[in-house]
Formats: sequence, structure tokens, C-alpha cells
Amino acid sequence: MRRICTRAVILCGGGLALVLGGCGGMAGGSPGTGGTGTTGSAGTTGSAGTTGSAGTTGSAGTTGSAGTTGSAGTTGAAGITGNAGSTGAAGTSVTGAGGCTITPSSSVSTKIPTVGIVTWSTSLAGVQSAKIDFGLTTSYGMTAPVDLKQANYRTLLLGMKASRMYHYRITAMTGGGVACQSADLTIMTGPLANGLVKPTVTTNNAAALSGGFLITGQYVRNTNGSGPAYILDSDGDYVWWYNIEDYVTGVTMDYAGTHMWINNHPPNIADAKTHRVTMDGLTAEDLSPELPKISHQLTVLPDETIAFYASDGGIDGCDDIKERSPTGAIRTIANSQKALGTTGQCHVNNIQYSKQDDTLVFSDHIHCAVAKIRRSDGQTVWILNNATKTFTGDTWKGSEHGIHILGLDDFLIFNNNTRLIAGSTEPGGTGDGSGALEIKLDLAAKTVTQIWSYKATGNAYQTDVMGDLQRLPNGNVVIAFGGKGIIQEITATGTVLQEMRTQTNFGYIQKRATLYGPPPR
Amino acid sequence: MRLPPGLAFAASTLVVVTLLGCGSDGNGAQPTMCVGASIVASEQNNYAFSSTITLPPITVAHMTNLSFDWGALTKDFQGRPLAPATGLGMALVMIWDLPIAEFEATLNADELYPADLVVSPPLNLPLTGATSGKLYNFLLNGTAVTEEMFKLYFDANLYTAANSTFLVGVQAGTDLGRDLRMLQAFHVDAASTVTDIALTNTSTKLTYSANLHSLTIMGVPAGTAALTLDWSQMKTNALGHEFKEGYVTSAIVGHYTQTPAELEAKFLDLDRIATATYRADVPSGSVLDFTALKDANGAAFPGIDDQGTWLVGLTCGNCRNPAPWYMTILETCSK
Repeated sequence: MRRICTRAVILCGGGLALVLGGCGGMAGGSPGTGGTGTTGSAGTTGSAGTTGSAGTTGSAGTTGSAGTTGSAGTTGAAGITGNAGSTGAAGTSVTGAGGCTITPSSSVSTKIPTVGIVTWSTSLAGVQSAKIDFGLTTSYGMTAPVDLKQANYRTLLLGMKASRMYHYRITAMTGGGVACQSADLTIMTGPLANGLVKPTVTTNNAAALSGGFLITGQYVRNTNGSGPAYILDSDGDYVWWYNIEDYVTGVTMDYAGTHMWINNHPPNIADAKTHRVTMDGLTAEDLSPELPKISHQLTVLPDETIAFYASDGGIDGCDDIKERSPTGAIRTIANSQKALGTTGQCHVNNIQYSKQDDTLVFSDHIHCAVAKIRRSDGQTVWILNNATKTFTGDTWKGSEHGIHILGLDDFLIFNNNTRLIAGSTEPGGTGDGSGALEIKLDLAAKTVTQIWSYKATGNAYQTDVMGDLQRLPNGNVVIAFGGKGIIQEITATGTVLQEMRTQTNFGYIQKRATLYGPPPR
Repeated sequence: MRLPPGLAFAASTLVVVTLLGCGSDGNGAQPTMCVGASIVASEQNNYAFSSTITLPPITVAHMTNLSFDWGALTKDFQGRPLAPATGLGMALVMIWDLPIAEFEATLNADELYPADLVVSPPLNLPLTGATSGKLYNFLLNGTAVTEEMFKLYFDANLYTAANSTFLVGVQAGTDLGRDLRMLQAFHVDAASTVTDIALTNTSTKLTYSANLHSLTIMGVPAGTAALTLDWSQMKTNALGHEFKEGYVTSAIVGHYTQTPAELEAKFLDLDRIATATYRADVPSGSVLDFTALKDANGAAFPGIDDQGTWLVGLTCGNCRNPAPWYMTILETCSK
């Protein structure tokens, strides 16, 4: 496992910082050609002016040089480097009034060598925010926010490919807009773990793809008894992985973006495991004893509470809907059978949190139902689709798995369309392809209307187990035929933009534009 | 040949297939290259392997409670002894969305995907000594399935010999699809009155070819554990497929009293006839450090001697076919 550590001291001078003023171009070199901006920021990545002022009140660029000659900035300063751009290279050792230093150090995780770990310090006083831009080139492209509460401002670089050289640059800012910026730095990621199977990716229209990262797991057993939770980037390359026991189904980053919750769904649910892993993979909690017989997946609430479902131990195998607080307290909110008002066997297979009204929405495969319950008291708000439904109108056949809550009255549902709903008396589907449904609720009239659907026709897309989906910000939908090892990204009109296939199946999915910040659903 | 998840063989063995019709020349002409302590894997010093599975189908009645009987099995499809009442943990029924010829071709080409399964995971029946089972007792994800639902899938009008293949299999243990011991293919036909399916020792036919005698033997220092094996230059594996980066997950070194020619003839049993076996995981990278190899008791690999035959193999942990991607013979060399 290769570890590359960098350590450098970077000086940037200049006392009169501008917003995003930067070190006047730590990379040195040309100070730019465009007099970029007169009142605003003088460019974020480029150079801030050529010869005259590099911006009047704004910032003089973040990575470029803050002017070439003369004063780089009229009301402010030429960036925090002061004479930042006296002759072009406002580079690495500019010493201006009130000069600042950034002292970085980096390595890659010994557990997940595509995760960069950057620590740094700065002489800049009063730092109130900071970030690290990083990418395969000096254009960067990804940004890691810095949590200033972390010792040594420890920051993870997430989303990097294996065995590649990455560039990164640290920017620290004061509340008054003074910025200090490092030069371009590099970090080398380590190799992929052996045994990761790369999916086959067929892209029909790259330009229309949403990009971002796909978080999921390997829903089959490996010969070595462990299966990975993992993240693929938009190229289908592994950028993160962590092995737990086989049959990984639920892989969910938390709201803070600091941990990954991973659970599996083995053939014997008594063997189900749940792990909470830091994104650097260095700290893993095995919470399995606290969450016996958890199944399928879980959902993470903003305060790191998780909502999940686990067998109630009854003869019907019905699940209790539960929560685990950040302190580890377990609370049963409702029993799925009672919440649905049903009898017979149950098979809860998805749960999602509705932040707007502090409720939970869950799916029961056997009863072909989706229901909403209140977190506060477990009371049922509504039930859709099955014999005990409380809303009338459109229905679907062949059961369901994943749910994407789009609003209080708007939902995407993965429709298995299965003919084979073991243990069910609900009608089966046509069995010739699973798909997606969007349903709209009239909460007053208590009616359901299907307003959009997509079906991937053919046995290859007919998954009787698993299945998930998510609408993306650009309107595309990513849909996982998990039990068949296929994931598609489609347009709103159902055009397949990309298809990914694996011999090792997929669990539930989470698509993220960035690996930082709250989850998209 | 890569089997899909539902058909995964046990992969813990060094080699699981044996040689038919191949043999070492036995005349000592096999070249040896002294390479010091650093072995660089290449196609020239790799063994060669191929295998073919054929599954002669039978035709049975459709939409009926079929009976499966595996009590007559005495050997598995690899020719190993099998005691049906004590050696099996689960029976499976699979429906593939491929006609039998295409299924076999895809299977043998290592190109089966779960998308080719009509019902995934397959129907299964946990066994506790039973040597027969009825279709309608099989479970899906641990849940009973109604007769009506079975009939939807065992309908000859939908799943014909021209578009699908049914398989019944028995396996050791209860890890679904792992360590399959025998498979029987069948088709359903509305005109058939046959309701009994018996698994026999020839329900699955495996032919294979392994070649240890054409490779260049790697000469390494005797008694030296500090050896390395670097496969980063490999383009093609022993099965004739791409040697994909990152797919090797474990390595094994075995010592045998037999000659290479004898080992070819006992290929199936290599894991059982080894006098010493040392294993190591390869979590990342493409270099094996032999000092990481341990035997079952945790004893370190001591290096090789000039007695018998030493083999080193590299296996793909996520592959359905456990045949090593690379294997070569090690001999002592003082050069």
C-alpha cells in the first residue's frame, strides 16, 4: 500500500486581503491576462488582472496571481500577499505585509488508499472557513469543505480514483475575507483492493448524464466471505470501498458525510450485520448486536439517528419499525403489520425519512403496500396500494422496493412488477420487466394518481428481489435492478443514457453529486 | 468458464479440475529458468487450463409438483465421492433465460450474469438428510411459494426449450449456490407426463484439460522463504481470458510427492494430496511476498527443497471458476 506524504510550508504575504484573495497565485507563473473584475472577485481560478488593478474591491483570484504589476486591488490589497503579483510569480514565497503560511501534510488512508487525509495549519489568524480543492489536474474540480473543529483541520479527500496523482490546494479564509492559499500540492492514491469487480458500463449519451457518485454494495457472497460496500465515480471506477460480511444491501452516508452505514441481508437474517464506518475506513463500529435481524437497508436522520426495520420475532416474520439514537438507544416506533392493519407474513424492504413532516415511509413487499407513519407515536398517516389502503385511485401490481420521497405528496417507487410475491395474496405483476412509478397524492381527497412511469422490458430487467431508484437534480432517474446486477440512468422521458452491469448484483443505491454534505434523500 | 453466483463452486481448493488427455513429457526436457528470488509471472511460465460443462436435459411435465431425487448419487460432477444423506445441505431450482445450448456456451465462456436468471435468488430447499424433495416445498428467500405462483414459472407455454433452461442442483452447505455438487437440466413440456427427476452421477458432465508440462519451470533458491511473485505483466490467464488487474485475491503454495505428470493426472485432488500447503491473501497489488504464506497451523512457508514438486498458484476470489489464473512449478536452482 503506497502512502505519499507531502509536507510543505507555503508563504503568502500581503496584508490587505480581499475576499478570496488568495496568495496571489501560489502556483506562480503568469499573473494572468485579464483584468478580471472591477468590483467583484477577480476570478476564482485564474489570475486577477494583468497590469493594473486586479480587482477593485473584490478578490484577486484564488489560484492565479493577483495582478502582475502594481497594486493588485484598489480598495483592498493585492490579495493577502500584499505585493501579490509584482512581477508575475506571486508564488510560493511571497512575503507581504501580514504574510501567512500554510503548512500541509497529507497521506492516504491505510484502510482505503483512495481516501486522502490532509492536515494543515496556517499562520493566518481568525480563520473562519476553509476548503480544499482537489482533482486530477490543477483545474481541480472537487472541493472538500474543512471542518475547523477537527484537530489540525484534518480533512478527507473523497472521490479519488486508485493509483493516480491528484492535485490539491488549501484555502483558508477569515471572516473579514482575508484568505490564505497554498500552492498546488499533490497526493498519490494507493491501489484498489483486489477482488473488486468492475461493472461493465455502456454509455449512450455521456453529455446528458448527471455525473456524481454512486454508493451501493455487492449483494452476493464472495469466496472470501466478505463483500464490499463501495462508491463508483461517474466513470464507473471505484473510489471508495469497505468490506464487511457478504450480501451487502444497505450503504448510506450520513448527513454529516463523515460516516458510512453499511448493513447486509444474508440468507439467514439472524446473521445480519450493521457497521458504521468513518469515511477514511480507520474506525469501524460493529453495531450488529444492537440491531439484531435488521434487514435490507436503513435511513439516516440529520442527527445521526437511524431508522430501520427488524423482525419482531413473531411467527409471521413481521418487522418492527425502529430507531437507534446517536447514543445507542433503540426505540420501537411501530410494528409494520399493525401499522398496515394487515395479517399474515410481512416483508418490509425499504424505509425513508420525510424531513418535512418528521415521518417515516416504508414498503412491505408481501402486502405490496407503502405506508407513512409518524415518528412521534408510530401512528399511521396513510397506506397506499394494498387491501388496507387509505387512499383510493391508481395502484400498482407486482410489489415494490426502493422509495424516493420527493415531497409530502410526491414519491418515486421501484415497482418490481414481479409475478412471484412469495407469501402474498396481493396480485402479481406481469413479470416482464421492473420499473419506476411516480405517484402524486391528493392529501385532502385521499387519492393517488400515477403521473410518470418507466419500465425496462425484458427478463434481464425483471428483478424480483431488491430494486431502488432516485431522481437526480437534472431530472434524470437512476434505477437499480439490484437482483439482476443492472443500474440504468434514464432521462425523464425514459431514454437510457447509461447502463451498468455486474456479475455480483447491486444493493440499494444512493447517488450523490458530491461526497460531502447531507444525503440527497 | 465462470459460474454465476448461483453456481459458484467452492473456491478454496488450489485446483478443482483435473487433466484429461494431457501429460508431462516426463523426459526432463521441460525448461527451467533460474530467476533468483524474484519470479515474474508470464504466459510462458503459466500452466494452461480449459474446461467444458455439458448438461444433458430431460423433459418433464409442466405446471406440476415435480419430484427430485438425488439419493442415487455416489459422486459429484468432479468425480469426488458424495453421500447424499450426509453430504448435502441444500437443493436449488434455477430457471435461466437462455436455451440449453446458449446456457452452456455462456457458462463455459464465463459470461453468465444474474440478469440471465429468471428468478433470482433461485428457489431452494434446505436439506437435513433428505435425499429427495418436491418442487412445491422449495422456498424463495426463505418464504413459501404458492402452487399458483409455481405454475406461473413452470409453464411450458412461457418457458420453452427454445428460450429457457431449468436446472435442479444439490450443494454442500447452505450458502446459496456455493459448492454445488451436481446439476440436472430439464425442460417442461405440456405433453410430458414425467414428474420425477433423478440426479445421477452423469447429470453434469465436466471435461477439462490442464497442462503443467509446457510451462517453463521457475528455478528459485532452495530453503529461501523470501521469494516474490510478480504478475503485473500478465495479459492472459490460464483460462485464456484477460488477466484483469486486481482480481487475484489469494495465493497458495503446495508441495507434492508426485511428479508434474502425476499431478496432471490427479489435478482434481491437488488440494487433498498436498503434503504441505501454504496460503496467503493478496489484499492489493500484484506481487506475492512468500513470507506471508502460512500453513493451516500458522507456520510460515520455509522455502522449497529439491524433493517432490512445488506448485504456486494465484486465484481469483470473486470469480465463479476457482481454477487458478496462474500456476507454475518451482524448482530449486543454485544459479
